[in-house]
Amino acid sequence: MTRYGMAIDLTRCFGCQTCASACKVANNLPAKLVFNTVYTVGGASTDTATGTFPNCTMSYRPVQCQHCDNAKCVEVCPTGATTKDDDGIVSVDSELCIGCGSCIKACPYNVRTLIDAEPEYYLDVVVGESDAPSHKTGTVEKCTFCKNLIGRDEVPACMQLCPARARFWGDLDDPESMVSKAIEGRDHEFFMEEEGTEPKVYYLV
Amino acid sequence: MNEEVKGIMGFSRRNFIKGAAIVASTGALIGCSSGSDELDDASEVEFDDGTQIFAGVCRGNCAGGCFLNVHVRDGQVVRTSARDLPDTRYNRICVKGTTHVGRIYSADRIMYPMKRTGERGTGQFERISWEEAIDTIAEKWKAYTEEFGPGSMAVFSGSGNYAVCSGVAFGSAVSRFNNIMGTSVIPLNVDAAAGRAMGIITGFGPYGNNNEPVDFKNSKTFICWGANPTISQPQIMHFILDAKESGTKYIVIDEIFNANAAKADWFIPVKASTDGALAFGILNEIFAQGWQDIEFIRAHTNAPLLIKESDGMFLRMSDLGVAVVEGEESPYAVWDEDTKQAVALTDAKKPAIEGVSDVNGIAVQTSYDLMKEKIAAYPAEIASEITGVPAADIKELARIYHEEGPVNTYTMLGLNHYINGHYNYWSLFALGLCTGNVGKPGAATGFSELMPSNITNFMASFPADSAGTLCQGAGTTILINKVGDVLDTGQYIGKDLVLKGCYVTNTNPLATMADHEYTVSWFNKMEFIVVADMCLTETALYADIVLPAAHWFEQTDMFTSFGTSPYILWQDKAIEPVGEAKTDFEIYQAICEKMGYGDYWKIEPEDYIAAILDSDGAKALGITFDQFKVDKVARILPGEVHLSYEGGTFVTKTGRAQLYQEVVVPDYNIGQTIDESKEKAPYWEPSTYASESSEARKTYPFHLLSEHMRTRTHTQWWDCKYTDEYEPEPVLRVNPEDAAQLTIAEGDTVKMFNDRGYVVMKAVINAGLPRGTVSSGRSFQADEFIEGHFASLPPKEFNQVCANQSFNDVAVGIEKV
Ligand code: SF4
Ligand code: SF4
Repeated sequence: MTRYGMAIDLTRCFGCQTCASACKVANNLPAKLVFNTVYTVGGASTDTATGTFPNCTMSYRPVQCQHCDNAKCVEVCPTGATTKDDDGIVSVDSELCIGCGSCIKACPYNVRTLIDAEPEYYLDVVVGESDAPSHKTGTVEKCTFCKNLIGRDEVPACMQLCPARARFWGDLDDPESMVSKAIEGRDHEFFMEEEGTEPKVYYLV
Repeated sequence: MNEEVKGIMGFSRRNFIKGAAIVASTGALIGCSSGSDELDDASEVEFDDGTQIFAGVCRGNCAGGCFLNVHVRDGQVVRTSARDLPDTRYNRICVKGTTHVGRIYSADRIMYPMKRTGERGTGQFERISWEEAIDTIAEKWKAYTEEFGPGSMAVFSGSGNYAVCSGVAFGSAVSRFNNIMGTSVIPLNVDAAAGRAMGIITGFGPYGNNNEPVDFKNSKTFICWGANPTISQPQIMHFILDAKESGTKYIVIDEIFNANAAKADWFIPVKASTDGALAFGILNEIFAQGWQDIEFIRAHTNAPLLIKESDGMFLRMSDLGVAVVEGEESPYAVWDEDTKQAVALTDAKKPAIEGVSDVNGIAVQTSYDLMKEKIAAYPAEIASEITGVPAADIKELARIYHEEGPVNTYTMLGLNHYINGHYNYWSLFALGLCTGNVGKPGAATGFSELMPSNITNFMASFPADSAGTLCQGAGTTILINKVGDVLDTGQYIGKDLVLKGCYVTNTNPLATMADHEYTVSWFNKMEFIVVADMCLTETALYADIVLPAAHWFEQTDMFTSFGTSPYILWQDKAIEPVGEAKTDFEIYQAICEKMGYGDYWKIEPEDYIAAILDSDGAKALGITFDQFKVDKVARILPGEVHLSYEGGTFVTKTGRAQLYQEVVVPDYNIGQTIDESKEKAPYWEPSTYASESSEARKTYPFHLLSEHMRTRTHTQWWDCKYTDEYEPEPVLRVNPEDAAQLTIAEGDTVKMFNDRGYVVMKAVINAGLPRGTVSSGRSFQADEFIEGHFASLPPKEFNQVCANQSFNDVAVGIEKV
């Protein structure tokens, strides 16, 4: 069985935002919609450190839908719009979604957004893949694992090229996949593991 | 982690095979000269939904030169992604490269030519036709030329696009335009300190004097000194991370703790622009311990050359009575330890590098001894006081240079933007040389950005007309900090030079040049200003005529300069220009024609690319235009893994690196007095404003470091809303204790000021800054500040020999507003 997952090597990520912006354009995301956020782990603002100079620390954590095996959002969705697909991807069917926001509350990762009004776009033209998500008013959206792209043998936008070579994806059940090989022999953690969500995004540490 | 895992996940094989068929079916067209107004014949890949993929290059002077897939649907760019380079380890893209759509279709894009209708800077314009625009420009230009000569119009081109047709790459068409029109030239006068020092030491530089990045993993120690590759060269940071993973120790020497320092095994904070003193301190310890690589120094530097006490010149065989061969220079004399006599350098078996004080009654000293004498003033303890680096750490660094090699000292422009900038680099290079850490696998000192001087035919920019008459050549190059004086006096260095107008292209000087008020003042003194740009920049607001320039993907071109991969790259014309935009190349052609110089510009972009590549260097590498057009990429470094100065061979007169130079040639000459004692051998002095001990810091207690931004290349991408998500506004970063003392909290509004001006922005607290240092991104435009301008704060003055703007030699006061 295919079970899609990702690995992000936190020892390599240097917070460049390329994964986030690649996602934004490929999915034709409107101004207020973000699927992929690169958090600074350090000071209060992006790219600031904590500690006492020069004994400081700063790192980055890119966060998107963790495509949890034990997805809280799936559990709470009243209409069956949010489901875990056979390939392990957690997806939202915009036809079924009523925008009740239950999933947003249930998800600990702050990666789901309700499109509560007609979305505003940065540009007058439509960009991204022709089959990018529709961003329908009154529905909830989040990272789709770019299933449109992987469905035609391409790669998720955020994985196309990470400048740090910190991002890997593929079939977790296939030991030969890039993601499995990246994880192999490496210490890893899950984000907010204590939530019991069983995420499929492995953070290599 | 194996290479395969780190491999690049681009388009699938299936799609490429499909694409290959399309190329083959249109193959007959390849090689025909396609006019500049046609879209490229075919993309290699076409998807079921009609999306085509073209080859593109991101090239705005960020050290990138990223080869991109430009995804086009219905004649519109919809996405950009990284494209495979022949060695996929060099594949590259960043947050800017992924958001070109935000620039191409920006609301700030200039859609048609305009003329000014209100005060300069207010942005009141009226749409005009291209015909009216070119007519107006030619009419003014002709009138000025007739009355005051062709030098009365200046061309000011910056670094906005490193391509040859519409950009400012080596030998680019803008130089051809200047040469045809005979214009004066306003240069950027930036990044010159590193080049000056490395040019003297090694014969060229600073670009390309590190090993190519795939060699980084061969270093036992990699010292990043004066560079922040996580922000400024994100395209090669992964090579450093790879090296680290394979066991290389990563040391970062920087004034502040940033994303790069966060990756270091050892972060060594150093006070602003004291890096030269730090290198001296390390060298001092190396000499004290006898850790220098004597044989490398003897064989590969000019250490054995003998400086005459009488005049500071090198001893030559003619000084010793050996007749000079007619037409030749008398050879340099050295003391041969084997034969115990003075002989020509090339005849010496074992040239002495120390302890020679007298040759045939002439008082002398070796270059090496003189350098050591200078360095002796900086024992670790003194260097420690100056630099803030503990003496024990200085000594440990000395040990590392000696014992933990090969060492790569990777530097970029972090030490450059100070009035004392070039004094930092010479000592840094001396450290590499004296420890033998140059020109070997894993051992290097310098930059990894490349200049394509080896493959560029500069004569392409110096054309003849159809009768064979060479163009007149460009006129005077005016130092950027003297343009106002020229406008005031009608004179430049004692000669008449009436300056009436300026054509500005590929640059946004109002936002980027030091001393903003000065730049505004001389812009306002110009009678006639033309600005060609993609978007309505702060500078364009001062134009009398604004011309809409095509985006990079809207034309055929070739990227060549200042990338950190060893390739030149082809740009397909992927889409038609938006609005009425024209390529810079076409605009030059139109102006030349209207001015009566059309005969000099009977050339299309592809012809120009071919002319540039018509060089011995390109031939030697097997690069031909036809093949390049098919492959869209060509490697311009010789060998498989290029090692700079391999085997210790330099491009100086002696083939040796210089620890001393006899003759001081300043970068500029405006009759300034020069203290030559600072310029002949490694020397160091503190920066003028940034230094803790400066007069300026007594009044303005903080050093202001202006930082590159992840989301902008200089000011480019200000017009892109996507990248604004990550760095939405200018912020001042300040140490928590300093903030507490100034009663500044996160998000407060603060004012930074000095004698030259002020700027108001939000503050953020950052523990990564040492006390007394603040930092801010340098890429914002006037209307993005709450008040004032960031570019008002740096000084416009130059070092005595180096024409170099000192963006970081800045002291400021700070107050909460
Ligand atoms: S693209 Fe890679 S390095 Fe950049 S923020 Fe994302 S994971 Fe980190
Ligand atoms: S801005 Fe620079 S690093 Fe980013 S894609 Fe463009 S060339 Fe590459």
